Amino acid sequence: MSRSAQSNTNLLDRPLGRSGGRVGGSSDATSVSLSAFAYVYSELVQYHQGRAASVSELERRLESAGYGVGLKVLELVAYRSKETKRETRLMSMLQFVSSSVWKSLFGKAADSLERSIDHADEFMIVDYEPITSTFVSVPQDLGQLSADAYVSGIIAGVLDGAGFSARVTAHSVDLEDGEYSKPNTTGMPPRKDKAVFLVKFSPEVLSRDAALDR
Amino acid sequence: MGFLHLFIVNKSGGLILHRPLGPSAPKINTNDWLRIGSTFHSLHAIAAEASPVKLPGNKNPGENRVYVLYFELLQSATYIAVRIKVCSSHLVCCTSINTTNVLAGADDGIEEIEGGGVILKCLQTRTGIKFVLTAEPGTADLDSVLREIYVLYSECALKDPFYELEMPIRCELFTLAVDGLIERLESGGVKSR
Repeated sequence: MSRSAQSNTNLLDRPLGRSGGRVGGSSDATSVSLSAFAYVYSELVQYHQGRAASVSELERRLESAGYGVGLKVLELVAYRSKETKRETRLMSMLQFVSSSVWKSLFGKAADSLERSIDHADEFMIVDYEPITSTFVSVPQDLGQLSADAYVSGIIAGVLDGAGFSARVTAHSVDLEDGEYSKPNTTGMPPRKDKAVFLVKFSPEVLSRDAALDR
Repeated sequence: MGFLHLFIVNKSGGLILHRPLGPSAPKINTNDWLRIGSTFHSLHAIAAEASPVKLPGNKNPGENRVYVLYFELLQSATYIAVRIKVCSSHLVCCTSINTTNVLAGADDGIEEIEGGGVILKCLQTRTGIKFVLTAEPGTADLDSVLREIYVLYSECALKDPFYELEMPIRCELFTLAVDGLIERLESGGVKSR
C-alpha cells in the first residue's frame, strides 16, 4: 500500500493494521493483540460494574453491550460467507453461529454444540478457552458472575437479527478431569472451567421450525 | 532450589502480596509482614539517596549525610535479614547495594541483599511496584524468576477487571500462576524466557 510521506488521514480513520494482511494473521481480517483486547475488555467490565447495583444487573449490562456487536457481526459474516441463502432452519442457524461466527470472532470454531436432554428448547455452545475470561478472577462476593456475558450478548444479537429470538446466558462449568488439556506454552495456569452458553429459544421459533418440518 | 518468600510492595510502601514459596520458608505473622514491607520500601528509597557514585542531575546529597545514611541502611537491613531468616545467631555479613539499575528502567535503589544465609532480590518497575524474592544461597537465576513474576503480574492481576491498583492482590489466577511457576522451577531446571 503506497503512502505519501505525510499522511493526511486522521489516525483513528485509518484501517486497523495493514490492509495486505499480516503473515500469520487470519485470512480475511487483520489481528489485534490479545493483551490489547484484554485491557479494553477489563475497562468495559469496570465501567459497567461502577454503574450496576447487583451482579445480575452487571451481567445484563454486559449482555446488552454485546448485543449490538452481534447484530453487526451477523450482517458482516453472512455477507462475507459463500452462502447465498439465509438460514431459516434452527439447527443450521446454530451451526452457523458455532462455526462461522465463532471463527470470525475468535479465530476458531466453538468446541461443541449440544442439545439439552431435559428441555427441547435449550441448546449449549461450549468454549474451552473464551478470551473474555482468560485473565479474569471473579472474587467470592460476586458469586456466579460470568465475565463471558458479553459473548452471550453477541450470540443473542446474532440469533435475534436472524429472526430466532432467544435468551442466552453464560455459565462457567467446572472441567471434568481429563476433559480438556492442552500443552502449557504460556506461563498461565491451566483453566479450571469451561464457558457454556445456554441458548433458550422462544416457543414461536420452535413451533415455526416444527411447521417447516412438515 | 530453595525459594523462601515472595512479597510485593506497592508505590506507597504498602504490602500487597506475601506468599511462602517453599517448605523451608519460615512462618511470619501478618503484622511482621506489614512491617517488613514498609521497612523495605523505606530502605529502598534511602538507598537511592545514598549512592557514592555521582548521579546525573546532581542528586548527590552532602558528604556527611551519605555516611549517616549508610549506617541507617545497614541497621535496617540487619532487621530485615534477621526477620526473614529467623536465625538470631546470624547477622548480616555483607550487604551489596547496587545503586544503578539498568534492567527494569527504575532509577535507583536496592537490587540485592546477601548474607545471613539468605539472598534477597528486588525488581522495581517503572511504576514503583517492587517485587522482592528471598531464597537460599545457591538458587540460580533469581533475576529471570523475578521478571517472570512481573510478567505474570501484568497478565493475571492487571488484566483482571476486579483488581484495584495498589490494593492487596486477591486474584486467584495470579497466585495459581506463581505457584505453578515455582513448581516448574523446582522440578525441572531453570525456565528461561
